[in-house]
Amino acid sequence: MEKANKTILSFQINQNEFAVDALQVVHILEVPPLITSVPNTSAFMKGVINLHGNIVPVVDMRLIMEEEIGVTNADNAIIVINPVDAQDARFGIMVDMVKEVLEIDTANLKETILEGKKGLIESYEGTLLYNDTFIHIIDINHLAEIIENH
Amino acid sequence: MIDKFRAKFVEESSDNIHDLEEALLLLEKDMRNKELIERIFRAMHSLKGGGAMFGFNHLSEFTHHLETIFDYVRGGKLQVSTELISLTFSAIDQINFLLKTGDLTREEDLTEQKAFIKKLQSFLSGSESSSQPEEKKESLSDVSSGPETNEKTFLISFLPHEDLLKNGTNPFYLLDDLHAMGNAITLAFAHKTPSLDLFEVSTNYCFWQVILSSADSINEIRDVFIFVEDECELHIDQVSETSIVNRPEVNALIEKALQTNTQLSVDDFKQSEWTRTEEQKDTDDKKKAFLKEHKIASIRVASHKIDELVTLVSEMVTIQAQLSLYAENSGEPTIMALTENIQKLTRQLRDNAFDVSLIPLQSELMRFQRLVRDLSKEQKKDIDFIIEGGDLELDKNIVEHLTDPLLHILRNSIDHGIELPQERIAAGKSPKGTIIFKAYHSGANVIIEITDDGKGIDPEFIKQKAISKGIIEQGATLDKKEIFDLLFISGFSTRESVSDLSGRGVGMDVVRRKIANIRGEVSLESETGKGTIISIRLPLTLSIIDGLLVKVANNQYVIPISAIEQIFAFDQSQMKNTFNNVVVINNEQIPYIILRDLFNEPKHDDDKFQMVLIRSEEKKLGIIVDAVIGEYQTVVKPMGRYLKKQEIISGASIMGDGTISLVIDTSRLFQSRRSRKVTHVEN
Repeated sequence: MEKANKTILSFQINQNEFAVDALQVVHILEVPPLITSVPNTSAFMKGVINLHGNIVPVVDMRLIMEEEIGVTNADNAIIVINPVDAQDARFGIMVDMVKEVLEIDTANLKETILEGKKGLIESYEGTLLYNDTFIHIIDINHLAEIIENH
Repeated sequence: MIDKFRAKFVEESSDNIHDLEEALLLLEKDMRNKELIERIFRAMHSLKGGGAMFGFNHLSEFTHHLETIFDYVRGGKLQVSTELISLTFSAIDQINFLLKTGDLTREEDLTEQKAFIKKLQSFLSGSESSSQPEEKKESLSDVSSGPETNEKTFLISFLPHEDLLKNGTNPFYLLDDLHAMGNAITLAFAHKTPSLDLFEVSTNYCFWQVILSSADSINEIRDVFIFVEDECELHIDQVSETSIVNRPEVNALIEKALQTNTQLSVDDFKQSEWTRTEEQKDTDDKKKAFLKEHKIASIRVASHKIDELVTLVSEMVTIQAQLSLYAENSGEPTIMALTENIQKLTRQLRDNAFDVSLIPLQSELMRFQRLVRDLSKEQKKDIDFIIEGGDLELDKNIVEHLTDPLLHILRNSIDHGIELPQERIAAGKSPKGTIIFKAYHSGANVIIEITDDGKGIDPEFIKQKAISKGIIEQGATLDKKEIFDLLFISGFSTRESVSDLSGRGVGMDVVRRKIANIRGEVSLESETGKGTIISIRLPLTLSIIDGLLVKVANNQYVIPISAIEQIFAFDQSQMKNTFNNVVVINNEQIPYIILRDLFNEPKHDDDKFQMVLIRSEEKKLGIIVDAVIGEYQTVVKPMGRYLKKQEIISGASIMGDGTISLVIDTSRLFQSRRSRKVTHVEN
């Protein structure tokens, strides 16, 4: 793989760590007391929130990864992502806990092993071993497609 | 950078062209109207000037020839005729083409352009103009004037009125323009400026004189001041046949004039020996032109900026509501008073912002007039196109989406509706057909009606057609309205051959769909032999609606009030014996939908609930909700691309406390009811 630097934002879902490209993250929010549910949508679509006057849909990442919904506490957060630079393309993902921002060298990325994986996501940008933990980097555009098509 | 300016030029030019077309259409009716000719000339002049400036050389060249013709017309050397107007119309199309493509590169385009210019020139030579102007002799290449050979010297006295600055004119730009025309010296007279305490910033106290050596004619110099003619006194005189700027004698004159604060006069130059000026002052030139100027009453703003403004204002309205709530709870009088003031201001701001995003329908009507004119000429039909209510204002997003369907409807009327004059006479009608375009308010809606007095639509013909296409079954009984509804079904086009004008695959089904996209409805009425009426019902604005706030399970929903007929209180007992979800109200059977069922929410445990009766076209539908909360004016925001599949919800709205209500698309509810029936069968 070509040598290049990348900034990622890692987060935790149960015991697993995932990450997204930090440059595409626009906000990190606390989970608001009320998320307005939208009828007749997929189970992972939690609903919509009011982000500075704009309507932003929020999906539950734990359901997309087919993990159990574990702890509900103040660490839970919504990461608002903008895959393409357009207002209507924004969405939020709800995670157990936001971990940290990492500068990584893409040369250190290993292919993500998909056999036996859980969840809806079929495409990862790679997996990084960091402090004895594997961080799987999610392909945001692929995630956006999943949300759009379900 | 330059691209940006070019884009701006193209945008402004479309305005000019628009203006040009409008004036031409008017001119066609009133061929001697001097004011219109002036307006046409001015529009052409701006096109020519701008074109040259932004690198549209072919455009500039082409317009130049056109302008020459109208210069003749202006000078009374040429009469306005129908041919001239038709030629100018096709020239406008060429200008449009040139604007779109920029300079021509393809060989055939170039030859075409040359041929066109020939045609224009032949028009001139055909006219009996005794004096051939120099411009005519110029070959195509030297539109941009060559090296300044025969320079003359002019004295320009520019004495603006006091209120020149009030409409935003910057006199320095005018002076810059003069300097750009040749060698110039400007004398500024500022001695009338009062002391500081009497000084008013928006008042003009200065006047200027310019000594200019240029190869341009007096008329061209005058054109620099074309936009301020009403706001100033302007004298332009030729003082010498040669360039005399910078001669010591002239400098001495200037020195003297500035010291004594007296204006230079033509006589000052005469006394001096170098002048060999012939007295050839055109009385015309002396005469001040009192042209009624086409004042700029509006400014151009990129539409995304307006969208942004509306978004910001709606956000402010939301925050303001939160503030009011807080102030009320705090009970502190100062805060309450302040909040009240802010509330007033925000409301005004909101009304203003929404008003800004409205544009008059008029802006699109010109295209319709042009279409009717061109098509009727082409098909040799005589049509009177009457517009009523063109000044009606609509949300710009609606107007944008309305143009195509309206054009299509008009095309249909001309193409299939209005008959040829001889057919009309045979049918006992006046040979001239009429199409009436009428727009008016009706409650929270705007209705647009297009009426023609053509041959109408034969229901029997449509019925047979539908049967042959397998849309309906043989022997089906349909009333007239149902038959006309068939026209809106996709794939139904009554014409066998695809004509150039309409029926290019875009049928009434597309019209209906496009109108539905902007929350409008189309209906059609027709009487064989008498004509057709197509009416379109539209909301005033897309972004703000009057809604009824209702509660269903844990959520609040907004139902647009424009769709609501009535609200009823119900209890469980009233709906016990309904096998097909129908209630009887005033002896009328009304189907209903339980929103909790539709939204897959658990059953309501209270046996009291409310029914909102909505209407779409002729159909009625009851919506069962938990409770009606109240009326609410709301800003509809898009749900974004991920929830597009959610058809029943057309948007969301942010409430005063920051929570979100979902906006229900009532016309989709009617459809969902139909599709639900189908799925039930499948299950």
